[in-house]
Amino acid sequence: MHCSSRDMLKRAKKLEGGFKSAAVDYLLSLKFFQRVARFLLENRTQNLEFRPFLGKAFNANTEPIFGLLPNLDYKPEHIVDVSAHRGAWTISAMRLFPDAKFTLFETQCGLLSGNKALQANNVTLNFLGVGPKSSEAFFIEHARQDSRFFTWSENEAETSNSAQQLLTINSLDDYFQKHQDWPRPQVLNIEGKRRDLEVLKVGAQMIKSCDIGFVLATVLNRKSPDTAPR
Amino acid sequence: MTDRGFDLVDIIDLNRTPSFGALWLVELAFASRKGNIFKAIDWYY
Repeated sequence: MHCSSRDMLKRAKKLEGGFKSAAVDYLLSLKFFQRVARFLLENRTQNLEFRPFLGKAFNANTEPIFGLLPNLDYKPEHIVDVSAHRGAWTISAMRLFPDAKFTLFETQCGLLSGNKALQANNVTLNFLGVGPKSSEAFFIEHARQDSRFFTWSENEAETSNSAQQLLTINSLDDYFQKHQDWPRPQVLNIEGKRRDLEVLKVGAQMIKSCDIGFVLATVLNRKSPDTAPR
Repeated sequence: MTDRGFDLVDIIDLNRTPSFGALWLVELAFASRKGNIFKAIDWYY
């Protein structure tokens, strides 16, 4: 297959971005870095430009609402994180609800397995894809770790420049029908992209029974609802 | 989410593009109407 120099340059740029993103993700996952970031955020950097970057270390954005819930006498017993990535959202929730049970879903097992904070008894890690129904789908391995996604379309899988593999998908209803040993899920976070969000469209019973749902939604990214930079 | 019985209760994150500063993604929090968790919040001060 012919590959022009322009295409090669494009690919090289993609890989470079992916490496940088992976390096930043790795730094942000380190506990020491998270402590420094938290200290700077809470004490020194009220108006500095790098505040969003530091906040990514432990998902500081969720702290206002998580801090509000105990004041409303609400303490969830079971929290579910779909597309957990490195678990930053879950760790943020664990700080305020240490007694809750946590169920995480993440397709890329390498992202979560090294995180010691998630090796507790009250955490279940599932290295599974989640979708509207249990089936199989192509997982597109974009250069950016936070932009990898499932596609049900063979056409899209074929035309994608990135590597791909066929993986098993589980529906949330099927999963929680088999795993009923913990209380019903009360808080659900879906940071998934594209097909992951179809979980919401089908209106799974599990979602209807939740008290609070966190959802990532696109605004100007209309063509491709994921986090990949254009 | 409204059709599923949820109301918007918080905007968690506004994700802007580094190039244009355009609003690319938002992270939203919804609460179930059945749960009534936020019913106590009905005044500003």
